[in-house]
Amino acid sequence: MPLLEVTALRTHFDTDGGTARAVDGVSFSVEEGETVGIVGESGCGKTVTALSIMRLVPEPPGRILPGASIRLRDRELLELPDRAMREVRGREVAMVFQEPMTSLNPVLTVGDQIREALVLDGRLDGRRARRAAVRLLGEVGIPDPGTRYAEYPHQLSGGMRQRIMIAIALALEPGLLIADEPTTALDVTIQAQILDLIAKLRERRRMGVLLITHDLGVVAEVADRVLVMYAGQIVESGTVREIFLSPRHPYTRGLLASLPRLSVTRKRLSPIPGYVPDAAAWPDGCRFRPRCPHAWEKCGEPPPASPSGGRPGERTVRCWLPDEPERRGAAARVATAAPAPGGKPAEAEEPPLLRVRGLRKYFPVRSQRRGNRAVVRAVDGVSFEIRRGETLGLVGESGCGKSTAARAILRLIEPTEGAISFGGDDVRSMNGDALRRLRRQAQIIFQDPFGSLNPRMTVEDMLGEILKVHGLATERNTRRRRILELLDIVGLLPGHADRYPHEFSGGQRQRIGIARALSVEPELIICDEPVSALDVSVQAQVLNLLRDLQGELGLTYLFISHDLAVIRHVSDRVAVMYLGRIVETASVTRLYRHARHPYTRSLLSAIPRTEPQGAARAERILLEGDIPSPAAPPPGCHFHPRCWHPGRDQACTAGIPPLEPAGRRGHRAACIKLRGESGA
Amino acid sequence: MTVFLLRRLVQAVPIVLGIATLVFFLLALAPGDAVSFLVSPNITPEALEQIRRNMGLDQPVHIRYLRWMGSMLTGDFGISLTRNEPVRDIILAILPNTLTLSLSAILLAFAGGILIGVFQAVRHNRLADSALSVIGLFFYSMPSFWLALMLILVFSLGARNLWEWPIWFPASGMTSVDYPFMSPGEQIRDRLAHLVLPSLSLALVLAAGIARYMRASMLEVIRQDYVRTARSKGLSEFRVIARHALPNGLIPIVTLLGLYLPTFFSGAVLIETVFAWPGMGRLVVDAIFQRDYPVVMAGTFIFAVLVVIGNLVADALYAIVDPRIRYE
Repeated sequence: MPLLEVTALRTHFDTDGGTARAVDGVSFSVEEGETVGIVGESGCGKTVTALSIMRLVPEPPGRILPGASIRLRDRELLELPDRAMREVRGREVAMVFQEPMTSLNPVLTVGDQIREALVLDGRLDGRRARRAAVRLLGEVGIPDPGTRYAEYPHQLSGGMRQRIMIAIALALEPGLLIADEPTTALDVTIQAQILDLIAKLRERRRMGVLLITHDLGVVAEVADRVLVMYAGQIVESGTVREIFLSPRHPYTRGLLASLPRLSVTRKRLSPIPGYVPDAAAWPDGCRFRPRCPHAWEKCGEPPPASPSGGRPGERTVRCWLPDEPERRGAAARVATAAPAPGGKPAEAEEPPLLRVRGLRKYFPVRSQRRGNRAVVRAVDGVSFEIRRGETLGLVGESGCGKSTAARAILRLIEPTEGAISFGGDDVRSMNGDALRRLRRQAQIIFQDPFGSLNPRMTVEDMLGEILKVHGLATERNTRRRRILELLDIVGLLPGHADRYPHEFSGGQRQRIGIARALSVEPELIICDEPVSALDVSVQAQVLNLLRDLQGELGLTYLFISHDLAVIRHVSDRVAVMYLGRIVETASVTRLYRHARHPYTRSLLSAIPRTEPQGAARAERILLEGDIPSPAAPPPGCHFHPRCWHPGRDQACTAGIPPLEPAGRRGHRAACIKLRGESGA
Repeated sequence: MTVFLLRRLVQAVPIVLGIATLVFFLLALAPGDAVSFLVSPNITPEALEQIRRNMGLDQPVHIRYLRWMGSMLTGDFGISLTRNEPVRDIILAILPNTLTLSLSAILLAFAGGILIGVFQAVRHNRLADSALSVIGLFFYSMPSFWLALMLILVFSLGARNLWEWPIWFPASGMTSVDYPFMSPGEQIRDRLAHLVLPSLSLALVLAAGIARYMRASMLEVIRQDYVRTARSKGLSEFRVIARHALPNGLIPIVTLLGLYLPTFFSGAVLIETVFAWPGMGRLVVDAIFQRDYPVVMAGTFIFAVLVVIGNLVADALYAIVDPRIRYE
């Protein structure tokens, strides 16, 4: 008997815009000790499926339609009275939510939140529950659990909070763990720790795991079987190998083709065109048809769903194509697209467009306890240069100072120290007009496409304002013409000019952000995490757009991201940052093939691969602990407390390691233990 | 935590001194003085001058200011011009009456408002929620003095004289005429009975406002991820609301406490008049009409200090309900 068996689940929401069929006929099962992954873009019904199993869908507006069945071992969950269902939650099925920042109660200590789950089944009294909670904290890898017990969520880092969530979920040793995007909000090295933790606990307790994620790499890494969801339905299911090595549904293929891969550099991605439609208006017939490159007459009818859905050992595809051999062949060919020309780095002799030397930005922080003025060294001596037409990728985990560095370069915040020259001019001595000219020549695209657009301005107002401020199109008609031209460049329609930001999807908003940056015809664009809030297929669309623009307009990019695959995809050269300093810099191929610095190597090893059990996997280097606070960085090499290098010793704490040559073609790394080693 | 409160306490000192200064100059610069109202029109200008000198009113403003501040800091508010008693004694006798009324009204308003707000949020968009919203709006838009008159009409006059209900409430004063002859138990009951209508008429209007805020705050909190987490643990609905949602929902309400305090004291002025309640409000209003400056100044100052203390309490409550402020 399977641990969990979901049959014909339909969860609909009654909204003003009609009935949203968020989950619309989903069947699958999970065995004991098995990890089943659900993947798909946002808005495909993954989370609603999970909440339906827990019966936590808010009713109204949501409702689970009759005819569905959710069986947990031998019990039908949908027929349980509320009271009995409460006893299932936490005890038999537990859930870990996506946002560790908001999923813990801010006014209760983390210990109390764990203990509360422990005393529920009445086996433990208060004092023993406290001890058990402390033990659980230790088990999920929280250092010094006795002290942490009494702390509040805001005192812990994101990774720690997610561990607390896992501890709560595991408190009563449930048979099934539902993890909804458990690592999406975390850095790669922390993500690796959490995934490792879930895998270990699963083995130790023979738990079934239902893992929901939009990150195909995570699924490839930890799942046994995969369900691909689109528009409220499972469109393909099979083992990890089957899905990743021989995907059959065009949607699955599209997702995989959208993904920037670590093994391939600067190839044009093949994104799925368009966006996930609204759940209140799924297309008729095959729901993927409007975005599918292979749609034909037959797709007007709904493709047959496999009656049993995703069961172990079964491979299902909800598509008309597999019946048509000749069409199938055509579909397989499209999966790899021809490479497009990338940005061409200019001749090395030409002076760099941007040169940064010893950039520092310190923020004073008031420390109440001691009264002495502490300082956060957000950026602590960063030097690099970017040549015209080149893309420099700046990569690092959250809090390493990449965004601060970008803002300091444009003097959006005043640097504490350092020299910046842009096109030969000294940026730090600029004021008034010169500064305005600089901000015209160098533009910035922000991460959050929701927060960075003024909700009360139409697209035309926004773009028009910039054109006016910089005196680029003073006359009304020319301005309008220029705005339409810009929209066309970034792939939006003329009709979009009169709309407000909330009428656009995330990907479209990011296009507006790009249009805004382009409107002043800049030479340099600083892209600050421009795609990290987007789904893979939309991410691929935006990355392609940025590439095409670079080719057509000869733009120079400083591309900031925490995502190593994206950085590899867009960059010519890469600089790796850790705690305010650059620890390694090299050309993109050298960095990904011959990384030298221990931090870079652990970062690279922590990325989940989308080629499951394929090419020989490099040993994964799991880093211990969190990134230290930049207010109190470790002395000497900032990385040494987490370093795994066998040669690590006292000398590492002695002084700041300089960025020294570590190989050919400008490869440099800041690690004193590399001096003796041969640079390949 | 202690450091946090101490800092707030120290910050309160200049505020209190500033208030004292403001009160003094507002009244000192107002036209007319106590003497012009006090004496008969037949008096000679020389005698008038003599009285002014005796009272120190012939001194320049800054000297009077320093004198007043000096004596006030030692707790001496001067002598009432109309009653010829030390102002301090008058206020000490009357302040407890006002505090009883205000504090019981505050307690009623917040306890009632919070409970109703939470109940409405839990029953969101059902009949009970809508009905309470309409009733709340009714009280919210009603002036408290008019509500006081209506309460007197229904629960005092009507209840006793027209319908002869077994329970009715007295409409004026703090005690009945035969209070001195009652047993201690009866005395307590008598005082409580007198408290009911005045504190209700103060509290109802504000409770309606607090309930609106509380409902909105709880609806916001109930949507939060951590409430879903609490449900996913398998906690009972009561525990989810009481332990996880309520403490978070209370945080914005604490701000209201600080905001509403002046309303309670100024509202008390009207209510005390309607119910013939011998409190600070009536004392100060009477003193204004009689140009009894020492009492007006002392009374205004005491009200201001009460508001400052109330805000201190609100700050302390903030730190209690929200650990993020405690560790700031």
